[in-house]
Amino acid sequence: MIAMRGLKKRFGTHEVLRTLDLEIAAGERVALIGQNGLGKTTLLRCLLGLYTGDGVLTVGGLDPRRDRREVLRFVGFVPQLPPGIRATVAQYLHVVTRLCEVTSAAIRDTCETLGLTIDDLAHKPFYALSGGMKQKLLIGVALARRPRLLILDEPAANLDPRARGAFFEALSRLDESTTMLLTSHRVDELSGLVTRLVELDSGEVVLDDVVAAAPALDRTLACSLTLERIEPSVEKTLREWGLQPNSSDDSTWQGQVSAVDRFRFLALLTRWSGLVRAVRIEESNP
Amino acid sequence: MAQSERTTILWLELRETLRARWFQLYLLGFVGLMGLFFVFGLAESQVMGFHGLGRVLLTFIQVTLVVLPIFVLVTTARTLVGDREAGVWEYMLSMPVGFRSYYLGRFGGRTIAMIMPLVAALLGGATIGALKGQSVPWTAVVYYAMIVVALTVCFLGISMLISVTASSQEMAVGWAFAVWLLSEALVDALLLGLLIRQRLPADLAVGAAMLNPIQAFRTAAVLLFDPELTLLGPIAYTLLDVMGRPGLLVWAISWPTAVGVLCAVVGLVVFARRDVV
Repeated sequence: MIAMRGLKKRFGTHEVLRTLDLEIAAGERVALIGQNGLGKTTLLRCLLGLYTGDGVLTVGGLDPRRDRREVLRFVGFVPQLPPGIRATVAQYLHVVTRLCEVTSAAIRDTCETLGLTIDDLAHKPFYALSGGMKQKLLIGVALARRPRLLILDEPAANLDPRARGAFFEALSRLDESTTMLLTSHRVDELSGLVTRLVELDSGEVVLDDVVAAAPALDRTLACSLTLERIEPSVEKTLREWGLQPNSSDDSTWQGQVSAVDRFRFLALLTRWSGLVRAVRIEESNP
Repeated sequence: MAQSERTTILWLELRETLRARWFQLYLLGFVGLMGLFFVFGLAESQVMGFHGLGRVLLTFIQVTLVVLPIFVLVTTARTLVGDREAGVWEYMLSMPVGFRSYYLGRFGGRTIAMIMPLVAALLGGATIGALKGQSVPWTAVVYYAMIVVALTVCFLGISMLISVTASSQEMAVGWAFAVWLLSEALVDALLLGLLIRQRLPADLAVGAAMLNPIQAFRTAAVLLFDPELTLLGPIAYTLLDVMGRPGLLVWAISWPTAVGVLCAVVGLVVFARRDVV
């Protein structure tokens, strides 16, 4: 799906991408990781045909700069920061449906699965939506297009745990041949989501590794958590993760956690190590 | 396909511009100004031989001459570069739309939005004048509408070029001011001063004036009501002498339009060839 050989990108005297060689096959789910400012977004912009570079870069066998329309017809993109679009949501969706081969009904349905009802927001300016709403809308649009290549630049950064779960589930419904390229500066954000890790440092690939046994994206784990005592901030966070108190015992909370997010959830528990009495996480729909 | 893309982007640009606060201020400013001229009886007064609707139109054009270039330059350059900084270009251009369609769509939408209030004010003023029983100089109204469109296209084209080359909003606004200052400066008064103090060749001063869209606009605007250009400086008078009345009237429309289109085309070439975000 993606092939780059000797790809270089320089801004003035600063070389951001140095002779990058990378091949990504159709259907691979690749995490592009690395610290901020080390070339991830630059690489994505080259793939989207927004930057010119030296070397060979093809997407689906085409040059993303020269054949941009043909390439971008099968590419879905979610940027790191939502764009400051001044149009209303309805106007924005009108443009998307005119430019991309997607219907507003498909976008509406996809957004619904992410917990966003766009009919209520139609007349609001896009920029006035909350960060989470914008992210859900952008993800909804990208997924509704049923792209062959999905490029997600830190996609879940603004999503709450429940929306993240819904997002992973929505990803799981994509065709298996869909190639995904996701970026993050944190490995734990993406490790459960991908089949391959590529780390960039100073514009070079310093790690290219297969992720063993990545879980199915729609798999959930049954979780039970017993606490010494419950505090308001803890209660709020647990509810955001979709956990509910046991009807007979306020100190025990139960619910489903996305398998992709399991280590994120465990990392959260480390913050409350003094409060946690017992944790039980197990397969619920193997 | 490209036509449909351009139309889509044009409508988006038009709708976004119509929603913007600065545009509402712009609309209120020009349409309200014309209304105020009638409310305060400008059409009934007479100053230096100008009276009736002709005086209203001339005053309106003089205000337009001062306000329009700077308003178009600053708002367009700032908004477009602001969009780039806010990730709008990156996102919109990640969809299957050609660079040319995106650029021309935005240019077209912005042009329509900027022209609408001016033409509406001119036609509205003429209509109110007619309803009040005044004789309407329709030739002047139509000609003024045409030179206003020409001036708008001129400064929008320059703004588009600034937008794709400036690295930040601050730089874009700085360049916009510089262009405006230069075009305002290269009119009669300063050119005459340079002519006398620096002993510049007269042809050079006249040439510089001819190439300045604002001077062309200013001279043609007054020419309709003051055929001898007695109210303008010697440079304007020389221009009239060199080009003749019809030549000057045609020049005032064609030259600013050509400058605007040329700058817009250079901007398009830059936009399509370099990194766009």
